[in-house]
Amino acid sequence: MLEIKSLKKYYRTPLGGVEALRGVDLKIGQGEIIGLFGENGAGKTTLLKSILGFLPYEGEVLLDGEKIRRSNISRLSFATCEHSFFPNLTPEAHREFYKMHFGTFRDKRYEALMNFFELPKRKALKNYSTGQKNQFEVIMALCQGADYILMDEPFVGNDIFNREDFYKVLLGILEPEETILLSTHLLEEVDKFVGRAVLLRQGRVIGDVTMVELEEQNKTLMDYVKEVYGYRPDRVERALEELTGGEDE
Amino acid sequence: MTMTAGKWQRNARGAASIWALLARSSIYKLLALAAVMALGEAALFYISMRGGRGYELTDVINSSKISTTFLAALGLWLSALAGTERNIEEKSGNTINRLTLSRRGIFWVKAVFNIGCLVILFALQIWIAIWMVGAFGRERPEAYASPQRLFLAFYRIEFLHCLLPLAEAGKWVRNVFLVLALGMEAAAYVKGVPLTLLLLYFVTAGWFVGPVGGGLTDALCILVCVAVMVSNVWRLWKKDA
Repeated sequence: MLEIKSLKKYYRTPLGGVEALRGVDLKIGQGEIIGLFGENGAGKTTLLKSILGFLPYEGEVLLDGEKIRRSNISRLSFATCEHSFFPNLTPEAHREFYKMHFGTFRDKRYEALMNFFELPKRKALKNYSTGQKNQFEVIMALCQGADYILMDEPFVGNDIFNREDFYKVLLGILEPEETILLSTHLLEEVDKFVGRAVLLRQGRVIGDVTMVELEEQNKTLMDYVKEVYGYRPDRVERALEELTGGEDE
Repeated sequence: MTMTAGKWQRNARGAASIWALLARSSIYKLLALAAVMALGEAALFYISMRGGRGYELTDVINSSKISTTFLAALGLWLSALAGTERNIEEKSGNTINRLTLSRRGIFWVKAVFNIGCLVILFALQIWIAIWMVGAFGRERPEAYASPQRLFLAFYRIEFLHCLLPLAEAGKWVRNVFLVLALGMEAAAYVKGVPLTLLLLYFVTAGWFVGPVGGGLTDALCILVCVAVMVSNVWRLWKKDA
């Protein structure tokens, strides 16, 4: 279980400061696939980086009751659109590197995914296309052998077919103990992939629902998000009216 | 006991992988710089020897400006090391920060790697100097026929003496401290302008070549190096604490 308790993060800026996280509480059970949604600046990336300990924060992040330290950090892996790999190295060199650091590295999965996505194994990653880089980033996060796989907009720059393939492959290969926390804007694409949706707004969790609950309420994920965010469907219509009305006069 | 051995083995494997990462990321740059330095010095030496800029070996080596070439190469070598390591931290920090090896451990691996590279650069320069002495002997046997010409060259030519100080213990100590401090400071550089590294480099460039027995500048140099090393260890200790 990954427990996040009263997590707060404050960024100092020359003009004062920004409260990126305002007391986030979240419990993530092993084996869950969670979508983390929110507008730009809602705090998704900050939350993921705080969980990983990349940023100093107030509050607590516990992994099976223990603070995240060097001794247990290998139970978390991370895929991000900012990329984590070493650009000068080839995938094979990465595999060796990961195997030396993470005893749980999934070699068979690595082979299968590299072959499935037809990624060249002996080409330096800096020479990959953006889409290939993203694929490799996610492959390494999946192959590290971590129990909790954190993903931050991992498919920015990949085409729709590619993303679809990834979701399907992910669902097919994940072991029951593997947990995914996926931050993305692509709501409609992942609603069949995630089992639970967490909505962030201005550093606070404003919605947390399972897909089963939504199904029972006969709602789609998009309906739920619009409802929670207070989205007004007539907003565009009224704006257009105002704009075009001005011209008529 | 088994746990300790296992942990030690894991850390050793982690350190070896960081070492391999550093080598893979910097080897081509370092080799290219070493080749340019060696070729440049050889060319300058031949120009100086055949262009009649002195009859004695001392004059030829001094006029070929190999000390300037070496110090410039040292600067570029340091910038390649520090730049590569900064790039790894900057572009792959998300991976580096998730390793089981501590930041302190990573720093020491980087420092030892840098120190090893600097020792190789010094060794290469000494080898080039020995080759120059040999080449001069072959070119002008009448001018420098002494069987002790190699030994004498490392005493008479200030730059060569500072590079390989023979019996002058003070300069050996200074050189060891310089290499340690430069290696550690390059390893400590993560972002921004590497002010301390630049300072240390300028101290090296300014004070490296000096007269035999130049005790004061050597002592000052050692003092600066010690201050840099202590500040690095202190920062590291504070960060991990």
